[in-house]
Amino acid sequence: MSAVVSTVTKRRSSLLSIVRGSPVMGPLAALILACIFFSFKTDRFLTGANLSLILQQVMVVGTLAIGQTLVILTSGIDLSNGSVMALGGVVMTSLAVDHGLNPVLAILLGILVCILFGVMNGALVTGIRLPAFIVTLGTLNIAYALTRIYTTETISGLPSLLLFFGNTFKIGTTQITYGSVLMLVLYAITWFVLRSTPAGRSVYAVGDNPEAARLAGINTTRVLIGVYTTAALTYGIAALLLVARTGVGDPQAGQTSNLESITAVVLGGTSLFGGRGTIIGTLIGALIVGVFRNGLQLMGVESIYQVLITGILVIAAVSIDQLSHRK
Amino acid sequence: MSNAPGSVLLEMKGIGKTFPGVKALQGVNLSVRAGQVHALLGENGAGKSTLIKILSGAYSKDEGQIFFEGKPVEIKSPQDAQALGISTIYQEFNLAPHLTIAENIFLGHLPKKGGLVDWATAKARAAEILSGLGVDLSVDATTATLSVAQQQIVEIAKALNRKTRVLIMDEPSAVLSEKDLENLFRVVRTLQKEGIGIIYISHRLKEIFELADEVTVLKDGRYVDTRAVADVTMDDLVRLMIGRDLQDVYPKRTAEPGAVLFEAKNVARSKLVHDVSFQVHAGEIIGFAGITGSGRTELMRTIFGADPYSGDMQIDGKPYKPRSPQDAIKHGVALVTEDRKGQGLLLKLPVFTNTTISGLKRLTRGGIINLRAELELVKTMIRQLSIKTPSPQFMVVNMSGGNQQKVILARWLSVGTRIFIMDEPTRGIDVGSKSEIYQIMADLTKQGVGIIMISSELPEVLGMSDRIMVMREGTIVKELARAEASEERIMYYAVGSESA
Amino acid sequence: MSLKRIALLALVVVLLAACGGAKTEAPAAAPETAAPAASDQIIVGLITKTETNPFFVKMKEGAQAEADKLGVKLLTGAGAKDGDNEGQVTALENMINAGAKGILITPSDTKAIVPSIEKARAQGVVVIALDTATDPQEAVDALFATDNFKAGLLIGQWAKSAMGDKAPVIATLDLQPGITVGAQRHNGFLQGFGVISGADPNSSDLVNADVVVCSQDTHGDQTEGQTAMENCLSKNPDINLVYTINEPAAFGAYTALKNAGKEKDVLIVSVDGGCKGVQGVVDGQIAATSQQYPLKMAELGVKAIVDYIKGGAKPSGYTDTGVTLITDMAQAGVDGQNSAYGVANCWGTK
Repeated sequence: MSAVVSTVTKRRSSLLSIVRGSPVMGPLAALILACIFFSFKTDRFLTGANLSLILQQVMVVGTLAIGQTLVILTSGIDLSNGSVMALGGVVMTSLAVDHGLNPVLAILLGILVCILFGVMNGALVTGIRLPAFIVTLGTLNIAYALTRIYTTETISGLPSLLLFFGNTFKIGTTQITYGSVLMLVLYAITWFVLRSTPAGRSVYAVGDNPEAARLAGINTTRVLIGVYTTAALTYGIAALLLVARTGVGDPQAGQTSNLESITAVVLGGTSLFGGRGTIIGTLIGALIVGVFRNGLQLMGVESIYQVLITGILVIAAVSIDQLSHRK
Repeated sequence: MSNAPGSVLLEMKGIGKTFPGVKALQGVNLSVRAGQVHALLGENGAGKSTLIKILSGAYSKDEGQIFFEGKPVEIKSPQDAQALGISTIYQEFNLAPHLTIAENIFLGHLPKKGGLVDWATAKARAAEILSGLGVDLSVDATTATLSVAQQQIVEIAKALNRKTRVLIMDEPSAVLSEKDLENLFRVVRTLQKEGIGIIYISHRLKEIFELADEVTVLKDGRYVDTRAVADVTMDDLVRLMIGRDLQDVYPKRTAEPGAVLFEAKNVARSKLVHDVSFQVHAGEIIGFAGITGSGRTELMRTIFGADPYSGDMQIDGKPYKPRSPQDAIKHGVALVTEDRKGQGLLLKLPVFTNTTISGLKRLTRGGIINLRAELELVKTMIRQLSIKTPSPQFMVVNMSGGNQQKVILARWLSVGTRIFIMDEPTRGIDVGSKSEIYQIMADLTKQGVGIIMISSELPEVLGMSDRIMVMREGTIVKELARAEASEERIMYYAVGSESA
Repeated sequence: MSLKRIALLALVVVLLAACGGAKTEAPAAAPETAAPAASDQIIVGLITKTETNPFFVKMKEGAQAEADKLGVKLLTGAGAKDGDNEGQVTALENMINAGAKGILITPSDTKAIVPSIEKARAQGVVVIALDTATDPQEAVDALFATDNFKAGLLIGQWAKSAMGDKAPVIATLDLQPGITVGAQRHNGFLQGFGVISGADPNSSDLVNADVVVCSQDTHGDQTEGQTAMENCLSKNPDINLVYTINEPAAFGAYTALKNAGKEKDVLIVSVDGGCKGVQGVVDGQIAATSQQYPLKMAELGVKAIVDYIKGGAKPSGYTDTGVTLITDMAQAGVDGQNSAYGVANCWGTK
């Protein structure tokens, strides 16, 4: 993955060429600078507890962003992920609470619902060759409506198994959420798959040029359906993490998650035109958003400024990407 | 025009340009006289585009001086170039497809009268320019409806409307058919008579002899020489460009055809291809000649499983029914596409991904790619095909056409291809790389690979093929053995009796 | 290549770990304990549903003024939009981490926020709900809010009297399903109007009556309110009384009625009493509205938390921050004030 797309040049004369050297460097530099800034501004920022909290706060959007990265790498986009996650979360909680189903089965069925949406997205994108934007705009509304038809009630009183990933364990004196660890593990797996498996290579190839990929012997239909389905699996896992984090099944959840996950992907240096980007970048992108939100709040800055800064960061990230690829 | 014919319009002296880590140009001289066609010649990567980008204001020079009518000038932006009357026509046209010819010619500076656009004047002036070029086109036609050749004329008209003194044409012939070419030459000569200085870039040596007065040769970013065209031969130019003789371009090989490798029987594809039957033997190169639209590319795509077809095909005497490119690749069939950038390469991915993308199975154990073995394979390929790249991680979009084509060849070589279909394998590639690719083809035949080559360059067809299939209107109209073929005979069958 | 990636990954991990190490140097700052913050500065958090709604802007003004007066630090946060529970959870966690000992919150999702509030209270943080009760109400230490059922009741009673003998044909422009405030106002209105009785004042389910010919969700939004009213009119053009969840929805309804040439024949009643909303009563667009006092809620909330931290009593139970019927068409037997009073007191401005 990242190794695949990095253009290793020996040009180190300017900031831009450093960014060009590795697509992760720019976002990483931004993250480190933000961390340094906030640790000077507030003594509560650079504590294990707070950093663990940031990780916990990005675990839902961070997990959604894994799927979003896969989709964007194929030059698609997935607007439906937040709604699909909300549906999955409501399904798994209501099955467990209202229908008394075995929690493990309830979780699996919730994730399965998400996966079905992924298959549907993939089938529409490849079968009828509709633009991903349109398809997922449609499934966004379908999932949203189904959630509301299914229940308007927030589901609480969950069995402990559904809350497991919200629990913590201690490293030293720092409490770490199991969910954050799961998210990091998912990133590691995705990183490996993109870098070291034929499927991962195919994702980049299809994103770069679908016709060239087909003529190179790649089954582009299978790759795309696989990508949308795998992405939906991450949405299902994100649903489980959301449920564990908030302790309820919330039919109103995830309404802005699609844009938040796209923000993380873009901040991480992945091109919306497909074929170029890294999963580690996305993790960094998600952390950047989390660090700013947390740091500004600790400083007592109003949350509307977090939105403002996120907007500026997105434009800055894309501009740097554009400039660094201009000759 | 006020210039006396022959006076020097533009002069560049000692031009140098450095990109981070690369010296792109060094000590380059170029001077263009009014009413002169000055050819700029060099292999891909010789620095031609960098030089014209400096002239057109897209890049700024690091060293040297530019004089316009004897006075030193600085060209820092495209606006500066335009103010001096320097216009460039790139291979990719810069036209608004949904606007009319008149609107395009006046794009950005339509004549105004009382605050409103003066359409009457605009159209009259546009029509005047077009008729001055001896072209019969309605100024109200939408640009998108025009042929490539006609669009090129509109670009030229646009340049003339901006009071152009020096016109740079970047490979104008690359996109044109033989017939359109003559029209282009006529237009260029008209411009010449009006005292415009023309810098003409082309790979086709023949054109240079037909059109140019002087020729400047660049090699590896350095100035080699400027000669009067009347004083040089084609061999001289090739030697200046690559330091080698022309007759060495095509490798000497004797065909030793083996068993029948591939056979097509009555292959057809909707309306584009019908009744095609032919055989390819091991170790043989079959050349496919024909004009654009004769169905050659479409036929090859069906053989490669990229499009649906009817009819029978066999490999080694066994039925071959490709339903997808994957099927074809499994059977040892490979297609080097005509459109290298659009259909062949993964442009923004690195050399190694492009090389191994079709053969990852061979490098995968338990679902995981052996990255070390992959890198070794790619490095071997880079060495064997002498691909010029800083590293296996280099993005192919930044490579020259010849090296890009070698990457594609490396891809297919690494999957053990036995039937190689090459659609215009040397299009847009400089002479040096061309001969390297010919050598690769020759080596392949020695290993028993069968090659099907489509080419629109007749010398290439004649120089490389053992047998030549001429296609017209979707089918093979004539098979010629190498010995009996000539450019005239091929053209006779390619265009049909009405033109012969 | 791969080595470089691994190095990068390692860097991220090391960064996090290094920061984790830093934590041990400042164990006193651990948020899990209820010990006072490193500095003696008292920190109070205010979490609203959104940043932009004027109601919450007013609430923030009240909280800030009170915090300044008492010399404490106020942190503010909000969800990305109405209904964004996770955004509120995040703000809550961050504020606790910043050392806030008391949090004021207007829950976007009355049920969904409960587990997070419980976690906060388990860490010794006092939580007060403003404006909107949690479900269950006992999930917080105290509730400072308008009696929304009463707010609905008032406009219901007023409308009953104002309509006189005219047969009512009612449209209700509601909030959205599952939200207690919306149901309380709606049910209160119908009970005040006398078409239902004995409604549960804390239910989050809408009760309906035959005279209500059209019910639409508006999310309290003016544009959606207009669309909803247009739809209701095409369903039944004889509508003569419109209940709206808040004044933006009321203005939307008025625009739709005006476009249909019916604005003179229809009474619009609403809840909120915002400055712009009361202006609608002055201008005759809204017949009557129940005015509430967000500024007061916030003021009281901040004070209660500061008092507690300084050693006073822990806030508890429900405090009604009051509601007043504002109308220029006073009806005998229904207490209310005129629009001049409403403008002077809009949302608690002095």
